[in-house]
Amino acid sequence: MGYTTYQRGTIEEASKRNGEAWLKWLSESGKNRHEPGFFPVTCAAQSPPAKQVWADCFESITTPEGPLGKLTNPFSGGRLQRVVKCDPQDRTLAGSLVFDKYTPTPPGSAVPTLLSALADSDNIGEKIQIRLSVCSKGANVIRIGELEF
Amino acid sequence: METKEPSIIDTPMTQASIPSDLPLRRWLYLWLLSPNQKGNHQKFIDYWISVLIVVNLVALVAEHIPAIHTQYSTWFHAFDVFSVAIFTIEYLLRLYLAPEDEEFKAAHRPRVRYALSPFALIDLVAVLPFYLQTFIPLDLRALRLLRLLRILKLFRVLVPAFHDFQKANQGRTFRQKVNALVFPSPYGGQLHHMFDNFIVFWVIVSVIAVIFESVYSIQYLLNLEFIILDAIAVGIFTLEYCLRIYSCVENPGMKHALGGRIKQAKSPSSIIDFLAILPFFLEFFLHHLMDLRFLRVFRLLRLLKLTRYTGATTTLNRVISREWPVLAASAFIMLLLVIMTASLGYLFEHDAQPDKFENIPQSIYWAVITLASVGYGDISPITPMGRLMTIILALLGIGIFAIPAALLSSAFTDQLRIERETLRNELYEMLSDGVLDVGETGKIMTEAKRLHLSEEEVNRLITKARREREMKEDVSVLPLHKIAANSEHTIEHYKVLISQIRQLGVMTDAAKFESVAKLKQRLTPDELALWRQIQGDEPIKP
Repeated sequence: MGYTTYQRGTIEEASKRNGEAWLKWLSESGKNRHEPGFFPVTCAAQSPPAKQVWADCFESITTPEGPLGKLTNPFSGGRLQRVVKCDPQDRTLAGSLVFDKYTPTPPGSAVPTLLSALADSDNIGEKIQIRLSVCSKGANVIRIGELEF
Repeated sequence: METKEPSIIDTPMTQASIPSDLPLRRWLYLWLLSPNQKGNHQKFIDYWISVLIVVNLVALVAEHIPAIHTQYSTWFHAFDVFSVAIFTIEYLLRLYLAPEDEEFKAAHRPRVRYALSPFALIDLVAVLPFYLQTFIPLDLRALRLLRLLRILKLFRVLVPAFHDFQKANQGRTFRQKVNALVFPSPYGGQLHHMFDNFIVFWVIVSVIAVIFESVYSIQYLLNLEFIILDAIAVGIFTLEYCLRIYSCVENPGMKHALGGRIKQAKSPSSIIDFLAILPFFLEFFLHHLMDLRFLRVFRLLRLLKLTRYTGATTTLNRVISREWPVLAASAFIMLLLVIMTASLGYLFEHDAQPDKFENIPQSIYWAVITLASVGYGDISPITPMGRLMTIILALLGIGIFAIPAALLSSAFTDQLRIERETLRNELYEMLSDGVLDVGETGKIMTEAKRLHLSEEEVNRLITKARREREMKEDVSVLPLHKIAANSEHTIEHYKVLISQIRQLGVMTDAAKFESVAKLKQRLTPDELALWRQIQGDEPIKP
């Protein structure tokens, strides 16, 4: 039983490593995606900002040829998925990635930013503050970190 | 009357009596390493060396975690140097003193013989890699693996304890041996204490782990380590639980194979043991059905396992059960006051603050906070009557709420006094033969440990009990009816009285005594004749 618990723990650790790999790639890409020739193109920032959506960028990153295409969900063994939020009631979400975006509030507001899920249709043509999490084996949130993309 | 001089045999309370004029090597051996010299520092040294070995292991495990090692690498290195220095001093000391050791002194070359003994080789292996890395570039992983061998040093303490245990349990069944290991008994010896210490160590480690697990940044980094630690702790506690249930039938009152085990399983300490491991198994088997992370907090219940090893909780339970009627009366008054306060608060304040004093249950919260002098201030009266009532009740509350605390505190002190008195009486009984034997000393020391008495206090109690015993043996201080109850005492007392009369005769003026006795007729002729006979002035008539 102890060994099984350990194995379950290693799977959760693998999903954390996935999250960390995503954090690293997005953070590094956030610095140079304004430069011409950035790959994948769907994630490159345009000047002036053009309509580019998060769903396309995510897809291009996770395709087998994409920069993080080799990463798999350690719980299901399948391709990495993104979800709006982790839900302990739905254990199939274990290992999924959760992206939240920070939106600045108007001057004078009580809180400087608002946190909401990074939707498929969200524009990523300009810089965006993201918080990255993964879902644990019980589909609870594990915070990985924050980055500017 | 002949009295036996009370003596204390083989007691830890005795001071070491090592002559200072011995040769230095012999003197050092007796003070530091001799296992047969009572009152020396051998046990103290063994204890701290064992602690250092355990801390070394903890450090070694921590070094494997990059997040910890990179941040505190200097400290880890400093600790390693310190440990090696201590272990080296220990090794050299043992080597130097080997000719004094009973085991090696008969050998042709005692030091060589010692150096080749298994314990010495283990000691050498524990420090040698550290010095070797100065000359040979060793792989860090290999070095750590070799450092792991320091755990073998624990055998120096474990092996003798195991031999003693085997000797004490010769001819006993396997279940009896298990019982001696896990339950306190005369057969357990040092190995039983080590088993207890081992469990205490794991309780502390697992509780610390649970506390740190709640810190997100630590849990994120050490999740896997916490899982391993918890699995090991649960494995140890489960084994301990099974051993206790298996061997409890050897305990008095639990002889029946099934009934005895059920009785053991229902005991508070076993329930605590069971609750300490239950969260792990529930989470393991039911994790796919529901979110059972909340159960992890209950792992802190493992701390309750420590109650088995301290008498303080037993004393507290006794205090509560003894003072229960008074505590219940005090609780009743408190309850009455709370209900009254809440009702009056509701009566006076409801109209002015309907949102805060919405109903009596809500007012109860305010009443308790006010009476207990906590005063959060989130709900407070604003009407004059409400404020007046609050002033009166707050003053009352100080007194009423303090009663249970004062009761418990005085009863606790009283209970401790009673228990110490009981210990003193036991000592008094044990000293009836004038001697404290090994078994009696062990019993007294165990009881003294439970009552948290220092060595000095135990010695004081022994002296006091001895003095009282001597006083009891002094017939002259006993009341006359008690002397008369014992013929030997009566004869003894009679002899004392005669001797005192003789002393009187020697000390007083005989002529004056005679004249007063005769002229003033203070003594009858028979009394005077008896006086003369006792003084030897007149022959004793048959």
